[in-house]
Amino acid sequence: MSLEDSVRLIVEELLKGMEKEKIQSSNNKLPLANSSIIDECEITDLAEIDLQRYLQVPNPVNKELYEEMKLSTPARIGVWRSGPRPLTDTLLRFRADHAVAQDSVLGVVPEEFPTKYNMVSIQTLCKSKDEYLTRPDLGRKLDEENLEILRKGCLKGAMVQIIVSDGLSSKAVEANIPNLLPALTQGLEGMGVRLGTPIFVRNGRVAVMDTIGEALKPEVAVILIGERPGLGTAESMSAYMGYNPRLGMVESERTVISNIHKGGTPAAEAGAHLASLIKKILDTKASGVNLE
Amino acid sequence: MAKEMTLVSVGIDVGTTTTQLVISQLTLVNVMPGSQVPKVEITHKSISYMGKVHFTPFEDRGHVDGTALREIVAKEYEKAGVKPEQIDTGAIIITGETAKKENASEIIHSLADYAGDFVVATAGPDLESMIAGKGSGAEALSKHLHACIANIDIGGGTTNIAYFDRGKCIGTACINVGGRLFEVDTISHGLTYVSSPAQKIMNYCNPNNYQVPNGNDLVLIKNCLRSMVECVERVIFLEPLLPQDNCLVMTNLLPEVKIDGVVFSGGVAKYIYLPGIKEWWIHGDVGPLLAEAFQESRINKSLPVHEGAETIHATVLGAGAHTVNVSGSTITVSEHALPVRNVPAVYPELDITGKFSWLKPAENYTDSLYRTIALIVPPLPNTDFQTILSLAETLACELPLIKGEPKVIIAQQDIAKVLGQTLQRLLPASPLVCLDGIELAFGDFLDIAKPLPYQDAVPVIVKTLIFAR
Repeated sequence: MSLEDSVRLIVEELLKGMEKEKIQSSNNKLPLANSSIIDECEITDLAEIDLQRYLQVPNPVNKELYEEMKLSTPARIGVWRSGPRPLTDTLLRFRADHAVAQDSVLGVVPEEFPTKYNMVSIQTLCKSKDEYLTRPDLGRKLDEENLEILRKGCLKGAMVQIIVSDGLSSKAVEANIPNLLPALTQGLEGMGVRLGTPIFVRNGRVAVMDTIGEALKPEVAVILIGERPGLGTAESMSAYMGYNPRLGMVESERTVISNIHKGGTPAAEAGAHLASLIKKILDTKASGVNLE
Repeated sequence: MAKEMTLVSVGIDVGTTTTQLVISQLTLVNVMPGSQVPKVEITHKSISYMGKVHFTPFEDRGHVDGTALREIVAKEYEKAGVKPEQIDTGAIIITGETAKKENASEIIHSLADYAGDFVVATAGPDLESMIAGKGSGAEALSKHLHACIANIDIGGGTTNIAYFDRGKCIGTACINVGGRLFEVDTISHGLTYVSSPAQKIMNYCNPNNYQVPNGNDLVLIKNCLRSMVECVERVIFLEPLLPQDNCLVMTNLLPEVKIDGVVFSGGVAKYIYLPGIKEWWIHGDVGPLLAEAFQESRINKSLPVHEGAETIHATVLGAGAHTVNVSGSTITVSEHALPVRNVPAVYPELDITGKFSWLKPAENYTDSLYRTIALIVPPLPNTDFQTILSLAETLACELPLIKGEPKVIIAQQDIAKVLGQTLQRLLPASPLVCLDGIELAFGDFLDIAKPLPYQDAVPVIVKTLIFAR
């Protein structure tokens, strides 16, 4: 049984239990005139609360300083306690964020997304998310069928090949690409750079750029890929750039810009920055440590 | 990317009593980890040369002696072993009573031109208060203690107060109370000069006897100084001002907050921290006596007094090291567009459709005095590409109608690169400077220096020029 299935089982089990309790408790409370069963729609989504502005310590001695400390970090500080344990609120939120992160890893970028941005859509050797997570090597490879799609649908020998991949966060793609891609494209075209046909890779790893590089021979490849989500944000994206992408290139030959998300570098600004960085890579004909 | 850069910065303070010069080194480093979008910040400020404390030269009571002042700067440069060409940036501030002299503006601008390419002239009691508080270390202390600290800079002509709440300046005040408002003879210890604000206080303290009999000066001076310090007390403790205070309080923009402590700086502060000087006449003024009055005041007795890092050098240090900002590294600057100087900051109006428009506000700066103007982009609801695109389209319509080149745009959010690239696409022929991360207020002027080597960052000096009447 896979992890996903066992989690599902546990959740179902729990929900059943809660359902029972709910019926019991509502039965118990029924005689009371003012009893109210909470309408599910009225419950605010825990994940919607801005933790950095959420003050849990009752009657803080110095509220302003407390606020300032909370605002200075996304870490879960000043969360108060109940005896030696965290508050129910804190625990639930922790679990909710963890769930968001898991959703982001296991989630799928919608079918129509690549078409909307005129991307050629392909898939690596990984046939499922489970395989993707357990077999990093397969996430770097393409089968003959997908290579054929590339050869047929994409421009060969472009100056810059843009690749988008879900990686470990499908949410990162959905949240950032709508702002990043137009800014990147505009920036590069403004500098007179000839772009290849953008590619979307399902279940991709960074080094899939090497495989694509062999097939399409661009001067530079940039892969915009979802980062492993954390409890702070599940929408963070990285951009890896490589000059002369090819099989066997070493990791130190890649230049990376990470932390592209609302709380880090905003997507549009990141796109513009990437454009100048890629121009620099084109001009110096080097990336990664060779660029420094 | 980890390359370090240093800027040589000069600070010159032309005060009521003294003129000082300090040369400092500002270290600029990319503070972000290697895999992130770089951000250049000033990480370290060190003093490489501290000049002598000179008396400010005057031609007469109404005029500063420009030639003598220039000589002081030239001599100090020689001693420091630097040439004006080697100075990257810096500021001259004209402070206290000197800013009221008839030729103050003219002198300070010509001196700034002489002192280096990017040395700016600044003035204004509020700026002076803030700069002194930064230089004295009160700003850093308030940040360190997470408290609200008042810096009280007592100079020859004015007492400049600035409140720093956890590292942020939240208000300033300038009061005409200083150690050189009375001058005395170092041998006879009798009064030789009484400045106009001091005369008004003297009239109040001694209404019936304008002609002071010899020998009684000391008692009279002490009474006047006490009454002046009481005025400062009333300002700090938010008490109603008395009629005699009105001639002393020049500006008061202090918020109604309780302060957690004070730092004294300025020439007089030395005698507050080290009391008990017998030869009070030693400087030919009443500075030590004023310090005594401050020592006995409620400010000293009822509030925790902290010692700052600097006393007499506070303002000059502040001027040299705390007036420079850096914008970078995600900015857009056309080649050869920089440097630019004396660029006024222009805020937009909101038109009926909720769009920004700079056309009307820009009309106030059509004077040939300004080579170009800087359009300020206030915070946007989001930084999505669409939002930036429509902003850029508005700007592209208005920029050709606004005189001056290069076109300078300063955003508050981190959008300068994408906004700049969009504008370059829409207006390919216009030289463009698009920066972010600079805090500006209405009425500020900017000097923008050439981009730094290795990094796409530019030093920006924000100046506030208000000459006291």
